[in-house]
Amino acid sequence: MKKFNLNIIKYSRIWIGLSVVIITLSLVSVAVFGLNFGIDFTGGSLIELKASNASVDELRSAVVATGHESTVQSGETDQYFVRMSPLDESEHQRVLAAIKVVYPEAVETRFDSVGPTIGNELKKASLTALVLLLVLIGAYIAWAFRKVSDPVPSWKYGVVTAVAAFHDVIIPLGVFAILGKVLGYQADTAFVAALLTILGYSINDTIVVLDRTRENLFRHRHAEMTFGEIVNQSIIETLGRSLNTTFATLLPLVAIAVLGGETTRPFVIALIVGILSGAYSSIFVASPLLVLWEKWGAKK
Amino acid sequence: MKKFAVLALFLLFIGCALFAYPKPWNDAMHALDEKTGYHLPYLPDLAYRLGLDLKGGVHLVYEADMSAIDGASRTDALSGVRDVVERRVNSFGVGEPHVETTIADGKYRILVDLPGITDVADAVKQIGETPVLEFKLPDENVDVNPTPEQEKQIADAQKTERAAALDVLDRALEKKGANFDAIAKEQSIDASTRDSGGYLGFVNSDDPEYGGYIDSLTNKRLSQGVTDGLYEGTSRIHVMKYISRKVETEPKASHILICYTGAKGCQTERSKDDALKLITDLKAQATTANFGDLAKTNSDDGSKTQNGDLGYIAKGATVAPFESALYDLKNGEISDVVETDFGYHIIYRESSRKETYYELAHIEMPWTTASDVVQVDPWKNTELSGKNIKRASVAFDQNSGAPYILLEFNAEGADLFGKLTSENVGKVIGIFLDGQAVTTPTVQEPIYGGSASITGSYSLAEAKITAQRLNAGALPVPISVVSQQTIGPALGQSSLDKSIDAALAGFILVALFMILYYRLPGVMAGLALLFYAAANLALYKTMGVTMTLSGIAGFVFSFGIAVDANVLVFERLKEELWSGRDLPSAIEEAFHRAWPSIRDGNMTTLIATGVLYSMSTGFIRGFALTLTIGVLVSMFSCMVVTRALMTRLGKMKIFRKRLFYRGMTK
Repeated sequence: MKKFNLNIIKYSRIWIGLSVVIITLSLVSVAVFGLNFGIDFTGGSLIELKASNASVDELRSAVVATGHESTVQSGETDQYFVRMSPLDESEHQRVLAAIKVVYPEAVETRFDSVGPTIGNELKKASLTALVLLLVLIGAYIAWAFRKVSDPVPSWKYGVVTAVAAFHDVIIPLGVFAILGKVLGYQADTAFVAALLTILGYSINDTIVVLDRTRENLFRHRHAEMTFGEIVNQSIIETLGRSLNTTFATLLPLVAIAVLGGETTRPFVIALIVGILSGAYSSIFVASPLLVLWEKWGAKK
Repeated sequence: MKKFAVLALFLLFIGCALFAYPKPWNDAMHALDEKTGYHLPYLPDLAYRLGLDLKGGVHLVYEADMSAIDGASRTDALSGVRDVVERRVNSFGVGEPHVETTIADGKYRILVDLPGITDVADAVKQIGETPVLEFKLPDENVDVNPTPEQEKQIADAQKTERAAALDVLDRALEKKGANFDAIAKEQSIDASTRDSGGYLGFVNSDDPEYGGYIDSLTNKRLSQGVTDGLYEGTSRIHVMKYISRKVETEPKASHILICYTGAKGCQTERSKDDALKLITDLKAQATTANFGDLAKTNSDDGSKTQNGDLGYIAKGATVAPFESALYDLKNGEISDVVETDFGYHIIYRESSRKETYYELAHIEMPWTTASDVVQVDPWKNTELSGKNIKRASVAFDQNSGAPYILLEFNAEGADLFGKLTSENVGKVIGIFLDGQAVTTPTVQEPIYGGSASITGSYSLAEAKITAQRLNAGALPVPISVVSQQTIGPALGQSSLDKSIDAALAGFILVALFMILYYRLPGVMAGLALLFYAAANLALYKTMGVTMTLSGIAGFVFSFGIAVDANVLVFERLKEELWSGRDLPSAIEEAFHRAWPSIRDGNMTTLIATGVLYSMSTGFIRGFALTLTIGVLVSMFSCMVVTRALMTRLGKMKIFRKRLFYRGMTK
């Protein structure tokens, strides 16, 4: 069999160190910037406008004059987003009228209004979904690694997979905290959907790599190979699959991000970030962590 | 058997593709039909169901107020609301409206999708206009006076409202009031005049709301233009503009009406000829001295109790023939017989006065008064409501001939009504339609018959419409909008175009990558992907999946997942070839060995999409659904389609050359 002289396990500490740094940065940016929660969670309303040469400040003061505190952001060319507290239909019409006084040409392309109760419910539903998925995936991991194996007990595979999953979710959170600050990207239900998808999708990559490790441990049980060498060989064997699959999945996502328009872009960018970190974690986090853990256990 | 597998799959692909996009076939058949006269069947051209985000429209979420309904029957009440809203919505005539209900956390909701509707305000109004019918009893414990806290609340509110009104006044005073119209459009809370720049028309000092303003105009000798000062009417506050005035001569009139069967509002049995005879007779007798007496004894009009006196008649207050006859008279004259829709009149012009009319416009500003703060509801709900109505119809009073609405209760309603009337003999029951008391009859005796009547002062047309609306559905409970989403049609179309571009680009990129990297197997994977796309689209049509932006994103994302299975197989194939197998058995083995990984890998994705689907908000659902379908179809397209193609190739000598496979030989 053709051998690559690639030793990923040798640099385990570097890979994991890098991952720790990125996770720390992500957590720090969430702590510093916070997440820009969408109106579907907070309750509120959003008017999306097309108006040529409008000024954000003038739009804001026009809306504020109707008695609604608002924030205005500009998007693509001539596109503006006005966010306010929830409006009923008559209030909505008044706000629109006030905008039209300043910019008669303005066209409303979209209006969302979410009452505060709905917002709270969605928050709850999202949390429930997240917890439910974690429980189900935990059960799945336990099932996937149900066979006993040596020298590493199977529950350690499970823990390592869970750490990788944590890694895959924290990084998009950090990225969105920054994008929320810079580009106004919102952490809305679509973002939660992206996180859940990432959890489901990326974890199987990790499982494939770890599965190969267990297979090789069994196959080479009489050979003179260290645990680290076997793990490294397993990574190399699955590397082609991991990289190609990730690349093939990213291609259509990039197509949507570039061509698919403003509405789905944040959602797709969350997916892209999550899948990239998922690919990284299944190669450079899960297996190296397993080796470090084994070494640490052996030293004791 | 296996020989035909590729052919069978090819036919399946053609079938799916033509079902997904039948235009080429139908065009070809049309051409064939025209040229040769052969007639082959056309394919059904089902449209994809597009979500609101792709075609524009309104999504409304209503919440039903179930406080008056006991726990067990709330689900019924909700489905009642759904039926009613559905009937309402269907009457809009928009394509594919969609109404569904959800119950979550003790919240009862109705979700309404109205594609293609742009006038949201109107749609919201029409759905809400469905009548709410309630039966209420007087509540004996109510206090109409504001508490000290409420008084303070009113004072505080008025303080800020006055400041806001003064700001608007300042703006209105700028440039000699040139901006008044625009400001009225923007600020006035009076919806009936707002769009016409607050224009009220000509008003005199008798007006209940603006009379006080007109008095101050004359007392303070104010000039034309925007008045510098707020005007506080009965319970409202206005910025006023005085445009012009005119002086009208108004006659004071009395009349005698003789009506006949068929004339408007006539409740007397009399032929038209008899009526004409009678009025001609009266005209012959009438003098200025006996006119009042004649009216009192003969007139069919309500004014007979005032000796026929109608008071001062402003222009436009009476029907045209009456007005012209009256205005042609001099003071102290009696007219000839005048015919109007109401019957025959003779008119006596007693005297006249000069009355000044002021042309006004206003901007009404929010103003809190006691009635806004003190929630006085002198009525309390009973269990009986619109949901207990079996049928509503129009009937006529036998004596007066006036139309009224007859309500027939269902069994439960009849019991409730019987109980209600027997417990409240001698008391008043309020029948409320849309929160307004339409009639408040006093219960004479218990009514067990299962029907009740609503006698208001209705015209026949009004009675008919109300009965229709009650039949179309009295809402069993009130509903209110808690959330709404409106997507303009232009945005929808551009989103659709962009999504299709993205899907095409995604498809081409993935196929190109597979071909460039894996060469011949990559081509097979590309063909399988083509099959995959056609099968997915055909499934969306047959299953009636609503395509949304997120749904398309899920579909495009699933290209990657579909290819993933192929990647797993091809990487296995590489290993099998390395280990020295020949191509056909390596192919067989690769698929066999890759299957557990494909199955397990897709499992986690399916778990995630399942959870997502259960979250059940629109955006996420579309994504979860297409991704789920995609994952399932992708397993088929890899394990069946790619496999059949690869197996077929493996048997052909020409394709065994290494140039077709990259990195797959030693």
